[in-house]
Amino acid sequence: MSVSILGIGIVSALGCGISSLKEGLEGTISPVVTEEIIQIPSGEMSMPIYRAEINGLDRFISPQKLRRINRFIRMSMLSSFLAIEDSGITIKDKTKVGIAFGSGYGPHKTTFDFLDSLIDYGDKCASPTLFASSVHNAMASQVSISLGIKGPCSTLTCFEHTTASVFSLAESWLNEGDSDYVLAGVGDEHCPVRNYAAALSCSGKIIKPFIFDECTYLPGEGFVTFMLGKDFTKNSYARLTKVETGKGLPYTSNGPDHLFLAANGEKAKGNSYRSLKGNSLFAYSPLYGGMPSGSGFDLAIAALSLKEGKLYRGSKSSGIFTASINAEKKALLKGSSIGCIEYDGSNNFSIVSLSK
Amino acid sequence: MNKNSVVITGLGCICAAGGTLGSIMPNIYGGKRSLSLPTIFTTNLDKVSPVFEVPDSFINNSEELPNNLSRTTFFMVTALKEALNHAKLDLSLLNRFRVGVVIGTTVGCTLNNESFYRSYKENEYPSLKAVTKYLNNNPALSIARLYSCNGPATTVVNACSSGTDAIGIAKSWIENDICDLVIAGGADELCRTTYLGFTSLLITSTEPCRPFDKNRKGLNLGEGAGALIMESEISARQRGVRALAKPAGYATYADAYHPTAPHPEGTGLRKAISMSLKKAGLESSDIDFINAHGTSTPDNDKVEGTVIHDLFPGSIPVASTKAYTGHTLGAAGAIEAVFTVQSMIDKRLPATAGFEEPDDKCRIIPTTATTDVKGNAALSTSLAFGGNNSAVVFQAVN
Repeated sequence: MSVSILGIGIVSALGCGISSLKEGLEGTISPVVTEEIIQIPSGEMSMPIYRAEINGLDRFISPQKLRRINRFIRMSMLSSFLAIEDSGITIKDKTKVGIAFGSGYGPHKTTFDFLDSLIDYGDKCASPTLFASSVHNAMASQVSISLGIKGPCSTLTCFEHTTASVFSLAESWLNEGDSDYVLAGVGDEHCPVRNYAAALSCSGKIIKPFIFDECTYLPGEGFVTFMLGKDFTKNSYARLTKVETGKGLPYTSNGPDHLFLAANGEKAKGNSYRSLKGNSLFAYSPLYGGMPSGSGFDLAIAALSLKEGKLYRGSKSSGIFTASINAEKKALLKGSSIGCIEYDGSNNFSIVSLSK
Repeated sequence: MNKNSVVITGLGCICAAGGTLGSIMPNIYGGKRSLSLPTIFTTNLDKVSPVFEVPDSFINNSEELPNNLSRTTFFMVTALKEALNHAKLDLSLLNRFRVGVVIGTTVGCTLNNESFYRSYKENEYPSLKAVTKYLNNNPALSIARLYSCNGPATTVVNACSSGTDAIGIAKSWIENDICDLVIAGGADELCRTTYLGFTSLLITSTEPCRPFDKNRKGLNLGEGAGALIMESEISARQRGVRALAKPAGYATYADAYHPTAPHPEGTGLRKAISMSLKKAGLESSDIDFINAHGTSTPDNDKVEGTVIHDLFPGSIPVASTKAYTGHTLGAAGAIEAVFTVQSMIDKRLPATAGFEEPDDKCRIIPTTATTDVKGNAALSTSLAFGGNNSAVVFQAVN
């Protein structure tokens, strides 16, 4: 039984909702990138950091209920609300809706905020609110509470393989009848410590995903949620065709027609992405920033591309082939398939493939 | 498509009660508890709660292992070695199978190194050694890397139900022919950050925990790992190994109620238990005993006891083994699953240490002495922060 993407909610540096993603792909808007000053041993360094724009949450939930809800959880909530809205589906049985979430790094900013409470004020003043929000499943939990969803609710974390793991879990719940719909979401949050770590090894000003010999990584943040179901309606985006993991090259033949690479300027993964051959390789990380859940954002772009029947193709200059704000569109043939691939630093890959 | 039948062929465990399952079970059947004030970290709290800490001597570090493994990974490796031996699996043979790894944790995948962060806060420009260690120690990925497993690997982070949920995912992978064999389990280590977090929530006890007791004051944290080798029945038969039990039914449901407290009516737990029984094709009367989550917190035990009372009329034996391990968080579900299967094999259920006086609000009386049980079918339950409720039914294999 095939699983379909019925709706998408996205919160990223391009803004909120699938329309903002589309505008970013068409080049009519640019991602929000702020220069942050980072202290490193050699002095101060200014680094562009992608920051998600979280607007419109009050359309779905009262501000009073958001008082103790942190930024990461807000991103996951907003993207979930938007995914359901985008699908146009009215949920009837909330025990038959699952939540499969993932994060590459988890709520590490919140964990450090919790550490601040005890470092600054002593062990007795450790914050229970921050601690409760620092567990990895805090996002899924709050989405479950705010939407009243009582089906299976799981959170996974495995760095670059998180998106594939989440889709695999969601697919099993749907196929085994545990759920009629699943909110499958992934994301990562902004964190000054992550920026510090990035600044120690990268010094670029723009992400160049197809430059493999230097580090051009810039940290990003955001959350993307997919409303998955078993029905394929005329409003559906795409079908989930395969979730695979492995080492080395993902296939020798019969691979997807187009590959979206989660390459984001991390030098350690350069050789893996470089080994991928073919004329139809795309990378969109310059639109959403570097994070281990990046392939989730590529999946949103792939689903949108399949629904609209066109590829958003970046500018090509000096051998740098990226999705940039000067997009040009290319027709996507009927029956096309798109694989979204993400490598870790040890040449292991995860790939999630979609087709119309 | 017919689903593959899944069996358990190996068990391993490490916790404060012992370094191997073989040494743990006599201790817990004998009612022996090993808790003390924490020695691996310090705190200036006025009242310090005891913990179930694993002595370093329990950790199996006999082979060449990378020197940057976390305590959580060492626990998992220790439990896994025992489980692999139990399952008669030579490491060199693993690459003949499609081997997946799914492990539950909480602390084990969190970057919470306090000394690194203090140094960062003070602008002392710390090296990234702590970050590198964190990146190398995602439990499932590190085990997959150490043992060259070629299937999917994922770490479940559903707080205290993570270990149980890992078993559910492993079952699904084998049933759906994604893997021949899965290393499933849970692992977690004690750390100051988590300790202070639980203390801040006012749910820890400065006394030894007393699951389901009227005078229970809260939980004691613990650490350790539980490992299960799960494989298709066909694979086990081809390898000529004995199936210890089968994970007959698993289900997980959310309360959608509160970030840290269970639903007062236990709605998610009721549904999880009911569905796990339904998937196993069993009635509640078929269950011989329950290894309960039994944290010894006022809320958990009241809700869990009430749900068990309602769904299992009569006097089914119920034990909480957290009285011997402490609350091992992401490892708890796996450790308790290992104990459940071993209790089925031994046909004995340990006493719930610390329990003395029944609590009318809990509505159950747990085991007060090591109890003989039938070993045909048993249930293990887990409740977690975030309102996750998971249940797994194990059944004997004829």
